[in-house]
Amino acid sequence: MAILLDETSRVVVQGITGREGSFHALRNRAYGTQVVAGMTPGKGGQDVEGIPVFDTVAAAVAGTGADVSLIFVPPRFAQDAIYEAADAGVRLIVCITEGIPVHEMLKAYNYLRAKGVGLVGPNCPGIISPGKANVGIMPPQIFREGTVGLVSRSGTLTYQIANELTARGIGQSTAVGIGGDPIVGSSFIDILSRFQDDPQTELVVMVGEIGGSEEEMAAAFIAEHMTKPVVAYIAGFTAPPGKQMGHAGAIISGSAGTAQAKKEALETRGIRVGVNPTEVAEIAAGIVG
Amino acid sequence: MDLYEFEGKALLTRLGILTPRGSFCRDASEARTVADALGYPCVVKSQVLTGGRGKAGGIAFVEGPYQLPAEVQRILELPINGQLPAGVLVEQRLPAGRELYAAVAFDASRACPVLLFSPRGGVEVEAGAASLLRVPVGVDQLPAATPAWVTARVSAGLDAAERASLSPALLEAIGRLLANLLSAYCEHDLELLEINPLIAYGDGLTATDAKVTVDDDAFFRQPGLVLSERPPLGELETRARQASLQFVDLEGEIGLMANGAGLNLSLLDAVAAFGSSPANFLDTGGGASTAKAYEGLRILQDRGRRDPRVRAHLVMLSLAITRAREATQGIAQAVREHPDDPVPTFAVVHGTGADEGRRILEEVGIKVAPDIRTAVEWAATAERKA
Repeated sequence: MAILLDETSRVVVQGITGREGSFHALRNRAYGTQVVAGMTPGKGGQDVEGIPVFDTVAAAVAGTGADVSLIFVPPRFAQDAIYEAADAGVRLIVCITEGIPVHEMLKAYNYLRAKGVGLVGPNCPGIISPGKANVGIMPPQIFREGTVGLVSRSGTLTYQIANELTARGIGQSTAVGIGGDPIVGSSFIDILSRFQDDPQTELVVMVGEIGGSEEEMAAAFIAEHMTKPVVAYIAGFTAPPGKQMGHAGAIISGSAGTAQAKKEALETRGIRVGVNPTEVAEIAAGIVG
Repeated sequence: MDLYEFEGKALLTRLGILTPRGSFCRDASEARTVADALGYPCVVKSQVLTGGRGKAGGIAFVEGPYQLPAEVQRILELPINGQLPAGVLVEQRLPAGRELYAAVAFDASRACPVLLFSPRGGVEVEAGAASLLRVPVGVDQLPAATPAWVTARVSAGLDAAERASLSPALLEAIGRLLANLLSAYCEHDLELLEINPLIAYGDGLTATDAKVTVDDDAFFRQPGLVLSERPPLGELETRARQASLQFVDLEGEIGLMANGAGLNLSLLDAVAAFGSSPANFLDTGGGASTAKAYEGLRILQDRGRRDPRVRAHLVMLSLAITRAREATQGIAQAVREHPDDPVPTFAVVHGTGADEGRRILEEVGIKVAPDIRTAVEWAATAERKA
């Protein structure tokens, strides 16, 4: 099973003729993902090592049956790219682009919700369902197929924890990087509820960080709606308030968004929070190992 | 990007919202001209991009011209959280009035703007004592968010006692102001537009402070908001920005660098958990090239050379990332070219290809730890070379 992606997913890459787009499209295909099309306006009819390029997403969908779009276009074109993918009829959009203005994301988010099209990102590393498909920039070699669902605001911490799990012989059902922006297409709750419904997933690791209140809301959701165990990690206990730490969304404003508040919200509901990535992997291994 | 108070008030003035009469001044003689025209008593307010200004002594009430030059000079020379002001805002001193709170922010979980209001503004909101009324405005509701619509929502959200304390005319003025703020919030790509306190004189409203944050990613299309130059970045911040690195100075004893935002945060926590302190945050981002990693370590080296508190550099690399091998080569190059660095460099490498990464680093004398805990322990107990 896995969530969001499996071996039947058919991917169109928007921005496939750019440096990052072509590099990762080919890497995703090499993993076994069905990368069936690329899209760059004005380059229709060309191909990227055998992947046909179309002028529009609609043409790519009509020509290849693509149902997932992967977006690598620069930030100024990203909002239009998201609208175009949604209008072309894909069911899921994965947006890697960093630096999209927040007000544009607000509009895009609401447009997609109304249409029932899924979005992961922006400013995210993508999604991998190990053994089935890899859509984005995650390094597939550190993952293996298994029963742990991973959801994270941070790419590198996802890799860190996946690596530690895999080293203990514990595989993953799907790993989802939801992204580090203030407004993201899929929240922790969106992904947690999919893992709850996924028969392959037995346990979920949730990786949060300073900023916003999504972790607190996820804590309430887990307590009310999840029967599967969840292990959490929160980064940034010692981050100073008022400074943006890497991600656009990783900022403590006033007394809101601290790691301590997130940890307490989780722990008061009985959700275990590891003090570092290694301990998170150990706790998870102790439950499903 | 945050706006200075006087820039935020200039925006409010353009929206037709009343603010105290006054002007931004760069020195005491400009301030004298402005104050004399306004009349006394007046207020002198430090223009800094940080909070805690009042407590730090950055606001002065001036009774007459005899007090003015000394107060302006004192405030111009008073750093607040390490920041010197860009100048002072000299304003007429208004009589005390009822303090309210009004703002627009993002509601991240609903993905829409949210209006915030409290009939008890000022320090009560700052201290978290007053609860804020939240009126989320869905993106599809924005065209319908007229003053009357906002007034009705605010009125319905207040409890009976709060509503009774505001006259119908004042409630209408609040609705009008919030609707006005909301359209400016969307038009100008703002992340926060906050007035605290908002003072009610009878049924009229005056904004005596303004806090405005513009989305960095949309700043390129909002050129009219900034009226004064920003404080120059430090040399290290400038170099980091030029190399597309994120650098935050934290003034502790271990210089840190990692290839990923979350990884960096995790490393800060590991250093603090050991009882030591980070000298900085430095994120090279996921796809760190040789050049970026090289410049990152050069920044740590130059910072460490000047600050005798720094006892070690600690680099953490997740080699799962594309081109991580290039990053190890950049770090090795910086160490090889600067054998006179008084601060020892430690590293921890994770993921596929860790053996090769370790070899590249160890060849130039970097000690590579088997795990983060060990790396932090080594760094926290290391000594600078004399």
